[in-house]
Amino acid sequence: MTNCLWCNKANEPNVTWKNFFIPDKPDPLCTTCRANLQPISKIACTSCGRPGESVTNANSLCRDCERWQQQRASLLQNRSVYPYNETMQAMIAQWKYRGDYCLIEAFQEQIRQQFSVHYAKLRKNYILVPIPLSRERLHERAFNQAEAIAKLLPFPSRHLLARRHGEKQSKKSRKARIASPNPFQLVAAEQSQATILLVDDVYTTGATLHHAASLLNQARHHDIFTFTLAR
Amino acid sequence: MFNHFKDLRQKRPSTDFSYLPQGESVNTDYPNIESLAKQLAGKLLLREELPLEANQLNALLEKNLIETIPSITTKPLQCRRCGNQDASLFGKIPCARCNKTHFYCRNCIQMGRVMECTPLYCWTGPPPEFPIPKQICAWDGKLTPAQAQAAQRITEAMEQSNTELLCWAVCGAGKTEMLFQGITKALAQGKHICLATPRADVVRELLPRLQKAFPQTTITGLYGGSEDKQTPAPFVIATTHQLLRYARAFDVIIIDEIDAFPYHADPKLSFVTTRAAKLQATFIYLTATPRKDLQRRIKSKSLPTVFVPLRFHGHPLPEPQLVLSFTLHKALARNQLPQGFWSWYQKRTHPARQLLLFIPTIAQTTQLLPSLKKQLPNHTIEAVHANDNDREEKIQHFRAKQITLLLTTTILERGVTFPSVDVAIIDAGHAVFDQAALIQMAGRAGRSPDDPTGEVIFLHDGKTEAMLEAKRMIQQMNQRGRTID
Repeated sequence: MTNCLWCNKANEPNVTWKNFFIPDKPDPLCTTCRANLQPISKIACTSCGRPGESVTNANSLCRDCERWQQQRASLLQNRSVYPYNETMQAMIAQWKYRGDYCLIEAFQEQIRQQFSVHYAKLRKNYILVPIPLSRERLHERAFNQAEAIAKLLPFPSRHLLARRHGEKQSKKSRKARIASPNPFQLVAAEQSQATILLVDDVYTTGATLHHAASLLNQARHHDIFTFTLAR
Repeated sequence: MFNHFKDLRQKRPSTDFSYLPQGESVNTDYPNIESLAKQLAGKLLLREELPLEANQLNALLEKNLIETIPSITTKPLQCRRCGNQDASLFGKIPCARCNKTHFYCRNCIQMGRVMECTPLYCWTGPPPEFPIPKQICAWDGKLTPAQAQAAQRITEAMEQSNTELLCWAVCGAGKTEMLFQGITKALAQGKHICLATPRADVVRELLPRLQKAFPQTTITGLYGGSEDKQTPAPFVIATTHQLLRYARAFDVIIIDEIDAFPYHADPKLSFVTTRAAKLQATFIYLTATPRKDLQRRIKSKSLPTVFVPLRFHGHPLPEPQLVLSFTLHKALARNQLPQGFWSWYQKRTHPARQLLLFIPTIAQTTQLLPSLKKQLPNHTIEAVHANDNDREEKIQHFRAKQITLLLTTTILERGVTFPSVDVAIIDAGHAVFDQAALIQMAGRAGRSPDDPTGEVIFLHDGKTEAMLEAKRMIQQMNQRGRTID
């Protein structure tokens, strides 16, 4: 019997008549941990995909998104797999900062599922652009978490952007993040007119994704969507 | 030769450490070699843990002052830092550094990730030398005869090489003070000492006490989240996990509470302590409740043992009283304490004493709280458990007698001293209360010389082997104590 990928306790599936004859796909998480890791079911803001009861103002946008709109944002919409709650914070910290790459297996199924819920029918073709790490950061982590997510999706990835080395976003205050200069630059051009889907691990203030989107917008990509693991 | 731990393991990681550097080089022409030796000697470090720039590291490697060791072997699959051999605790990562997909160790990832493509680094330069103060020990207390005898045996063991000694001392015997004489001698000989304990609380508690006793010696305290990671010292107090970063470092390793979690539960930890010791090292084990494997070795005389059957105040251990209560589970299901408890409660000889109630599960501690508060309005009652954020504060309040009755899980089973309490273990037959836990919990009573007795009850609805064994062992120790007098 395998152990749970997160709590490392024995992971024994409940046997029911439903899975007695045809076993379920094995879940790397135990039932307790899986229960703590539920995808976003209700979306509060149609733009950034914030979880919660829907906002009831005129344009059904949350205040953050209204502010982005005033700055003529180039980003059409964001959708995320999980709410960025305590469990998710701990898991992402372990995955990204400790470098426990395997944890992607715990997210895998729900990433694919949520992608098809939100994006599969929206457009025919996507070009996935995982948010890059700076060279230094990539060496330190030995993997790019955004690429790990993009790899699970059924469309090709292209590296259109590069990132300058700077302080980690998570170490900055909210204000500092939104005010910080654009850390990206365009390094390649994409000819096809397929829709760009930016992929990242967390949408917090949205600053990173808006920076990336505005650059791609300048390169004449008009429809830019984003997809993140947590919101 | 390194089979001290043989009996303690379920699955034994390979303890062939022949890949570690064998000798030290005599190369001394490098700037700051002394301070580097102090910082790096005896350690097994990741690249990120080396305080060196790339060019500095290359120079040191070239001069054979630092050696690299492959970090993960594949046949058999093992992490050389933590000894992990469990295939399910290895992950695979498509590595952006080497562009290959390879193993990394998930077992010790909290201490920094060990990757197959990156080696571990080991100092092979001259060993560090720490100044030896003239006056080493500043402790001027007096040992009881039982303590003095143990201190003598410990000192002798530390002077010899390649030996081990078990010090079986009852709860509240004053173990720390018994170590002082040996530590003083070892420090005087320039030996490096490590005191390893399973819990961070103990490191935090011991560090100031030892610093006071050895004021001229640098002592480093290491635990997860401790500020001090770098100060080089001849004397290290650490949680066992912190020893992961050491190899062939110590002449003397003192292992506190050898029976406690996780030494007996995690075979990898004994791998780590074994490696942290030098080849000729002395091992001192301290315990109040040796487990079966150690007891077997004591009986067969393959493990030298010294007993300290009396507490430092010279009084015997309070013997537990087994109280049968048929309604125990019925009452607990209604979040109440059973009749058996109340009749004991009524006729306690010292009703003024504080009460420590051990409860098997976290859920029960919180469930029992409201009804108890109602039934005992004169008491200030709190519940404490491992997931409690105010844990430290509540324990402090209990010590200061602001709380008079404390409900707790096994987290307060050892290492804590309250001067004057009665102890009741509710549902003593529960599986979480093994023999060692029962003895330790009973050992919380009667610890002060001003109030050296205390009542202990095991409330049960059916005797278990663990309860009987615990009672028998306490009686045996008291018996042994009487013969010393």
